[in-house]
Amino acid sequence: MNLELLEEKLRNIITEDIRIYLSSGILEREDPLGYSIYLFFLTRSGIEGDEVDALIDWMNSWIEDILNRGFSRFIDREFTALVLGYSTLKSINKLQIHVNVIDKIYKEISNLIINDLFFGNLTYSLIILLSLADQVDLIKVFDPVLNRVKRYLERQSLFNDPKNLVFASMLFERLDARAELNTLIDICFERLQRNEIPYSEKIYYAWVLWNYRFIKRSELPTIVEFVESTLKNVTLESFNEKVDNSVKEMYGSDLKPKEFSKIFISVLLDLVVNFKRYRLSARVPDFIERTLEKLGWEDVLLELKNALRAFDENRLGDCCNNLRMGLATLLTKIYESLTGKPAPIKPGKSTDIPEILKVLKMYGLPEDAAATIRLTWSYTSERAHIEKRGGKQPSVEEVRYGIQLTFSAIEFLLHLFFK
Amino acid sequence: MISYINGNRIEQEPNLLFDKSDTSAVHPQVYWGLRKYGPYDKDISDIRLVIMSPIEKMNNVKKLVDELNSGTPIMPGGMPRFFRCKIEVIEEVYVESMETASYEKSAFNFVNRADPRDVDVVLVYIPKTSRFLSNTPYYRVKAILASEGYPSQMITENTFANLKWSYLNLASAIFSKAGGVPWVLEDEMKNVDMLLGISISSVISKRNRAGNVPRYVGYVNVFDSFGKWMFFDGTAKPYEKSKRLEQLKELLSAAISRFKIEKKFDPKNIVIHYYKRWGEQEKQCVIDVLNDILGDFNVAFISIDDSHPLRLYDMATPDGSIPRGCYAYLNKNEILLSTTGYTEIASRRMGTPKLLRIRLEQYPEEFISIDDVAFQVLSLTKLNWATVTPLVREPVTLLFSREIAYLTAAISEQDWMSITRPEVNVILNKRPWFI
Repeated sequence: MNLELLEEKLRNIITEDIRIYLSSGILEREDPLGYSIYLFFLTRSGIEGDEVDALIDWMNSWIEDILNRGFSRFIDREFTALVLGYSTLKSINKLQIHVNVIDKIYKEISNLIINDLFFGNLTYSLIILLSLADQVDLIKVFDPVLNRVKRYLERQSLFNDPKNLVFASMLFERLDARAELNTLIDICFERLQRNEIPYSEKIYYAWVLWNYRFIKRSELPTIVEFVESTLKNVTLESFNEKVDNSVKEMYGSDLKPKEFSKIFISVLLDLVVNFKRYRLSARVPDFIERTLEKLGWEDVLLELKNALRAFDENRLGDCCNNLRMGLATLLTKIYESLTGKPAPIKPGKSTDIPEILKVLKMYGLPEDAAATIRLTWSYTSERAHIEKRGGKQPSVEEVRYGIQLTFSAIEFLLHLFFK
Repeated sequence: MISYINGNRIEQEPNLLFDKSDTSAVHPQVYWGLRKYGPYDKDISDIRLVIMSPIEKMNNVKKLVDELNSGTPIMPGGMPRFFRCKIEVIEEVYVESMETASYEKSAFNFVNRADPRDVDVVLVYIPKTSRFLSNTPYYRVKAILASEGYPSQMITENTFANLKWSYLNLASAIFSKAGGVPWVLEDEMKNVDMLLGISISSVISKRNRAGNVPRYVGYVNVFDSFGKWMFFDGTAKPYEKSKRLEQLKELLSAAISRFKIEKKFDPKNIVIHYYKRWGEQEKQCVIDVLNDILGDFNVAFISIDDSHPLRLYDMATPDGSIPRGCYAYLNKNEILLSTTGYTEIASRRMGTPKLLRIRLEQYPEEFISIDDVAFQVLSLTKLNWATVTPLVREPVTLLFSREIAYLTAAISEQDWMSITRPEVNVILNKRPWFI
């Protein structure tokens, strides 16, 4: 399974789709919901690029436009796209609309209920609730719709359409509805164990189980195996099921090549990006783990494991902080072990890394290696202090680079002094 | 005499949409669309089914339901894959014999103790009888159940004889009668807000009443611009033919009011399909009603009939049939359309295509062309939720009217009045119980 290649293919599909869509006139655009779903998942995955910028600009102008011209008879798609687009843009600080969007949403929302659901449809309802989850107290119809969603979960009809599982799990997480989230994950896992998940639905189940694997921590190997096999079997090529010839005689051959929905592509890309991150950082290399355990330096090992967990959970600043702490603790331990003295502390009580490295050079650490280790420590420290970066998290690529640098430095140091 | 005729063809088969919230779930073929994407409406809870059958057939019917749930080679994955729900048998009602009286007795017993809010569909095993006889288990049970708000699905020995191909049609009919929407058109029909399939002089059976003067009922099926069946409405009481215009007025007013409530907009472009030729008085009556209710409107009067002797052939196709989607102009506003000729969407043909003769008249001005109407009618042949067969000759507007006409000819005035009374109508009008 080449996740890099799969990610590239998926991004190409989305980019091409966006390019074609944006080149049509604004009034001809008929699938605002599909594109707002693209935007939601692309930003959720932390993907940046020209296509995302173009989508952000389009979403802003589309929201402004729809509020000015009013909803058409496709109000279900339009309103859902509006709410999702608005909340996505707001969450990434890219909302550039001059109209008071939320007032318009408040004004419309109560009129859209059919059978306790928005537009009488579960998927629309989940997306709208998810987008407005921080406004629970301000929206009267929020609770009745949410209760209906919970009834769908109890009766398991939430599972009729697997894409609903993705939105429902995010909704329950955002509302801190632990019991419902646990129930949903339990049912997904039971279906996995009973081998009841149809091929066409596996991506959605894999997404849900992967993103909420912490609820089934003890089942992680099974979940990892499921996600790996699901991704391995994904095909984006045209695919025809083997069918009985009489089916073709009666109903004709399947005339339409396989096409994927925007929700499917978005969910798959998000899964690939997140799973790739895990595979990269799945575990501390064997040599490092074994040596640190042998030396009894579990505190260093703990920092490294915490770094990987933080990376996995998208806490990228925390990951960098754990990496720098792991490296600094190791250097301190090596210094103390070699010199028999406490490590030097800088005024302000942080470890004096340059001073430690200066001493280690006397014990055989090459000059250029010491410089690289010092730079590695600075690199991770710089990215750990997100307050100095205006609260901006480092990118996934920056942090992946930091993980590889730190692990390489630690492996080198352990080899040099303790092999 | 016409020595030659011009024609045209619809190049692309209309696409169908199989997911309300995902516009990419699109396919031109019903079977493959359901197999790949499931139904348009995916929020249906498990379908609560009551089985009514003679004792000796009950096990066969139960087995059939089990197979619908678990799947068959033609319908792999069964209901959960094709319709994203399961069928749950909640009650078995036994019928003592295959006689109509036994069926009536069981049906009356059932409706007297059950609540239609707890049942989605009643599946009834009946003997195969002629459609043109009225005192049969089919019509009697259908009428008794419908008049108390229960949609029903009938199966016969023929269903079991051809079971392999019956599963999916049965599944689709049960799903739609339970209130689900299996599929709709991907694109809106051009320049159409509201589409009506209307019948205003359907004769009703003289059963259970004195006198020989024929009485009639009127009914209308309303579709939206995606060809989605919205509701059925019928005149409250049977009437004599001289009163038909008043009844038409009542029917149309009610349909437009309901459409406005459901869709939250006033329809401007209204298309009415009728399987007879429009009379001047009828057209004027429609115009008067629309003037009263809407003011600003366009209306297209379309008559569609297949009771003509005209046939067309095409020597260029492998079987000599004129391809599906081809049509010949008889004049500016009249065409002959082939809906069952040669096509890639199906291998099996239905013999020489029986062409639909379509006539178009508009008021106050032209807002739709005869070519648009050809595409519209072809699209509507794909919306019969009672079958996944790729070739259906008639548009759903006519098909549904015809189904109800068969029924009205067999049921009594009391049955009709029960079916159309408000407390029953509120349950049945959103479900195509008559298909």
